[in-house]
Amino acid sequence: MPILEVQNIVKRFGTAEVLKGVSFSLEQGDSLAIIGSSGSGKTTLLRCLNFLEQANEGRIIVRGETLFDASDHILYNDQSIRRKRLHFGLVFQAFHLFPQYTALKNITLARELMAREQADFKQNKKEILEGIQQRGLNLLDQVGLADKRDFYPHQLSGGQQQRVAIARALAMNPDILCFDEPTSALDPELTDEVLRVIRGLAEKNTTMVIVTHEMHFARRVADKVLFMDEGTVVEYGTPEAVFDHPSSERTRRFLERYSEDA
Amino acid sequence: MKKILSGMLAAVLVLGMVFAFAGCGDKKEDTLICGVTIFKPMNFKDDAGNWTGFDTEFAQKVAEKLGMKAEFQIIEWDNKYLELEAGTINCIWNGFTGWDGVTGESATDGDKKRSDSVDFSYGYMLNQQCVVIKADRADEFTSVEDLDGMTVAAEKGSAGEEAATEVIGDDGKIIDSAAQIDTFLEVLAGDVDCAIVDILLAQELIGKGNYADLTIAADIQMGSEVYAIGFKKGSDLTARVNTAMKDLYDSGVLKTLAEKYGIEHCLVLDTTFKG
Amino acid sequence: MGFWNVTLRLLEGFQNTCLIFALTLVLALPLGLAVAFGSMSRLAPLRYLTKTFVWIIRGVPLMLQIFIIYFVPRIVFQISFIPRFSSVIVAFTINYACYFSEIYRGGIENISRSQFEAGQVLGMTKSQIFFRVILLQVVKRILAPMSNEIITLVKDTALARVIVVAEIIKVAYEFAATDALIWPLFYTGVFYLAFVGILTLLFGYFEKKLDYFRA
Repeated sequence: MPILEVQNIVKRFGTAEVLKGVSFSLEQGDSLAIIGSSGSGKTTLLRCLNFLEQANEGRIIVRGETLFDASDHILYNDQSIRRKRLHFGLVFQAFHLFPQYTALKNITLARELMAREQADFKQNKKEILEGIQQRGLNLLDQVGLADKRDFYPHQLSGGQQQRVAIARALAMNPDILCFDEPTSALDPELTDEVLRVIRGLAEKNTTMVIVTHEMHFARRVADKVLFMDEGTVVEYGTPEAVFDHPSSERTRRFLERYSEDA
Repeated sequence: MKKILSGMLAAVLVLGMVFAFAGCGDKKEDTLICGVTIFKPMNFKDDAGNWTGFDTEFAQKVAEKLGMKAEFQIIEWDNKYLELEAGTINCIWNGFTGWDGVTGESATDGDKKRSDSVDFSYGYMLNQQCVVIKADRADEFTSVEDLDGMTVAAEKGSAGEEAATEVIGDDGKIIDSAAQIDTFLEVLAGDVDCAIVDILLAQELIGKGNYADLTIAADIQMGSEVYAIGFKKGSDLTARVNTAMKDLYDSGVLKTLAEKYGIEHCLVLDTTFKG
Repeated sequence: MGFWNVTLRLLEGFQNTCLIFALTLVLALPLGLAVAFGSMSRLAPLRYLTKTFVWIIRGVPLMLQIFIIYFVPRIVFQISFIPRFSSVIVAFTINYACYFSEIYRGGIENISRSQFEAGQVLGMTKSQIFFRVILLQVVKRILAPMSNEIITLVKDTALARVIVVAEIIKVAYEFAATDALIWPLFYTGVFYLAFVGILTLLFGYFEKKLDYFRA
């Protein structure tokens, strides 16, 4: 059973149809790179997965559980969306760390708030918070920033901020971790440190959906590649299949343009 | 979020209500609320902060006769009719000029009532307008004619303002002040040549304290006028107060009171505008 | 009337000044936030209603509002139990809530949506996001315009005298009318200066306190 099944997602903004029926599935532990030119709907797709947008049509199924079904008119209230959202994590292009919290607190804040809803929070407050703190430190260590635990975001470089943002997303233990062009806002010399962290996650079989412009990275790290154009899935397959033997003319043109740019 | 918002709104509303009712005094039928400004020697506060003055004691005596209790509410003089209309005061009793040109008890038809917004009681005190000047310019002010063409400060809407319009001629100019005491500041500042105010007030203050450099132009006689109490139109209080006032005048109580404040020479009972 | 006696009497008036200031602040700060949310509401009627209200309140002189709130209920509706002081507080609170709301709105709208979304994808509730993430950033951003407005409030309290609430200037005027003393009027300036001075120090302190991050 695939961990994620996306079925026929349609998203309209007013009269503009940004996603025109997107479907794909992903196996546990696989990482999927979504490529395509800007405006092709990649970011909107990620936002639909994370419930930042609600799709007009289609279904999202995680581990066999239907999280979202546009044809089902159950009320998606804040509380239920909040729960469903936790199946996904999202790393933004521009990090969006909380500026008033230290690197460590950025990572632990949401967990701490969530822990308060546990029934045994009052009795075991100290242990629970210590556990969260320890997990935060481990994550910081994992992204190579253990020494920056007490730094505020503005004291960190872009690459460091993005690594904290990744740790922050990981702290919620999502089933699927999404990245929205995680290196696009970074100076070229800072992209490597972020990509290295993501590669590390892939090696640990973290299920990931990565929207990216880094073709080399996609080829090397991703298990699957999905090429989107004008709101549809044009090509979906292994990196070798998509990059070396694209079946569609549109994919070929896109890849050519990219290799010229690079 | 909604809960928090409605919580905040509720808190604000509740607080608002608390304030609204906190000061909610029980207004009794037997209180006579007099609208006053601080106007020496009519209404002012003694060193202990208690109300005193001729009008103050006068009102207390009248109220007593009517089986009521007098209370004094400070008002802005500009808003006196608004306050009366709003019912926050029952009368304007504060050296309020009722009409002009009266001497003693022999009113004439030419007398001019100064306000149509209120019913006046009997007149009880004769007042004059006087000219307040800087002491070092006293020799420039010897007759009414000297005021021709001058710049004069007077309280807006006061008897002094009206007197000023009559004497300054076409070249003169009036500076409207918010209160009689503000006109003294204008004179001190030197922007105006003189101020025209109630002589009863001027005698109390001029030459004292920060007004030491001011004086009243002794040789200039202005028209006189009569103080009366202003009531809401149609109020039954007017007649009741008139009766009480006449009793107090006839029995000499008012004379004793006027002597206490050194203004017995101004005391009258003028029944020109009954009710 | 010596200097000391005048000072004591003025201090009594200054108590009212401070009370108007403090009550207005305590009531208008939260109310302003509610108004700000109203003017950013997704419900168009509520949004337009709020915006119109803010336009009216900011468009009409505060002095006139005090007049209206005190006199209109009495003259038009025969409702006479709202005392002068409460009327002043109500007028000031409404007026300042509207000014504050515009400052809040600017501050909240300027915190990019992304901070909100960053909280959302971490499974935080809307109120957690607002109070744990957005609020402090808003506070930092609005501190300077707020301190301006609050200092203006100190001086606006003098308007209470139009319906004869005995704030400090009103008391000072009594000296001019009773004791032939003008200097107490000018002396009141010292009280305002001292008050504003303390506020300035306080805001400087807060600004420094929030200096540790960039919003």
